[in-house]
Amino acid sequence: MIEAKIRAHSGQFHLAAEVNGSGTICVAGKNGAGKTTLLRTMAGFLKIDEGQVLVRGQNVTRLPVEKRGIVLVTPGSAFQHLDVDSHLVWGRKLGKRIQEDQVSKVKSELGIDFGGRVGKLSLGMRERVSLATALLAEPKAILVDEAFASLHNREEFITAYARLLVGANIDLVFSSQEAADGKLADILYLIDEGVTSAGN
Amino acid sequence: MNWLRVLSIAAVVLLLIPIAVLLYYGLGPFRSPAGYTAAVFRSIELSIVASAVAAVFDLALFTPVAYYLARGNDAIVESLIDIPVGIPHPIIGVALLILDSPLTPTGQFLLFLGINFFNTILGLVVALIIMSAPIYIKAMQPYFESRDPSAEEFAMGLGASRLRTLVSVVLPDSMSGVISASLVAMSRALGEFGSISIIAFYVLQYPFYGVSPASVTIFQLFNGAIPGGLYAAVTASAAMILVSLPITVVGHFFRRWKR
Repeated sequence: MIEAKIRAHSGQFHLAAEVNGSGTICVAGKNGAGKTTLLRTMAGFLKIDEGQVLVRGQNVTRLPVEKRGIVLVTPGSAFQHLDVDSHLVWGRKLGKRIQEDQVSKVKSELGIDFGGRVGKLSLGMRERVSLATALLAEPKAILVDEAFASLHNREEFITAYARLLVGANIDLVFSSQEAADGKLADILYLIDEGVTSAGN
Repeated sequence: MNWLRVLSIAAVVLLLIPIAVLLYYGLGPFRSPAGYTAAVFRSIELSIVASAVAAVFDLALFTPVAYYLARGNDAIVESLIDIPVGIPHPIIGVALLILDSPLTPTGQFLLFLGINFFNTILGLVVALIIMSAPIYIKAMQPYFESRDPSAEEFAMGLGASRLRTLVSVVLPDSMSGVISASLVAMSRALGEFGSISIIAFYVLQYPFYGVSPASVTIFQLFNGAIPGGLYAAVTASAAMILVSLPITVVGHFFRRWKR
């Protein structure tokens, strides 16, 4: 369960957004509408002027990024120097025990049938690895900003990813330029000029 | 004609003319065997060793500072770093002397711990760290700033602290920058004179007993420590340039060699 009601600003841009719900949430809006600002504020990278962010009932508004249990995944979210297998468990290792069967399940469900140094992979493959890394760390919520964009079989991947997250009780918020992506989500929000509205 | 280019090259040549002239006379007409004696090379060796050690300490102690400044936005710490650079270098030598003097409580305490700066390798290295660390930080900070922060933010979201992120995400990816900045700091330390001419004019410790740092040796030769010292000073200076130039060049090479 994510409950975010925030006012924030980044330079001249003002955000007045509300995101509530469990499961898979899509935030759709065109370029510059405030998707990134919203997700970065929820993750703790931008200061909230007013309002609060709750995950699984816990108020994380005042917590630093690393204590929130919210992972932001973007196309740049990859540790280039690691190989795929150590990358996948990097976040997990910070606090939880690695379960090999879970790792192999995630790898097969998300089509990670490749190895090697992450920096040498294609963007789409890197995104798969980052998203799987976030999932295996079992945070409370995963926010995906544009990181689904370069994937092969995109819709299939999002569906598989969302299914794995439900199993682990992790909420997913992803941004998209297309309101049509709402069909991949349980809840759709539209965002325009920093203001959110319910989409379905 | 690109006048900006012409102007820039001309200005840089102006900077380099004295060095080129020194190299020419030191290795040519003014060449003096007294400028490349074993003693001179011994002092260049001391300077290189002490500067390299200082650079290693810069790396270990001040890489986190550079990262903190690159990602933080701490104007106070940032301006504190400029202090040692902004004051005349001999003052740093005097300051270390006072800090470690038997006449002051701090000095009595340090001496009680067996820490002595005056004419020791430790004193030399400490002075070189103080003089080169700001250079190291100033070289490293823009390198970190130019990094795409996405991977670091990802690591923090996964639960890693800033320090953990620095050690296991940023550093493995920043080796070229770290090496480059260390070499830049090392060349800066090699060139230091003001502070070390006070705190460690010569070293009274094994394995450099009685050896002065290169810049001090050159100054002594110039001051007429031996007959014909001026020629010896010019030759020793040329030798010093030949030694330190490759360090600067390699440092530059690493800076260009992006990840």
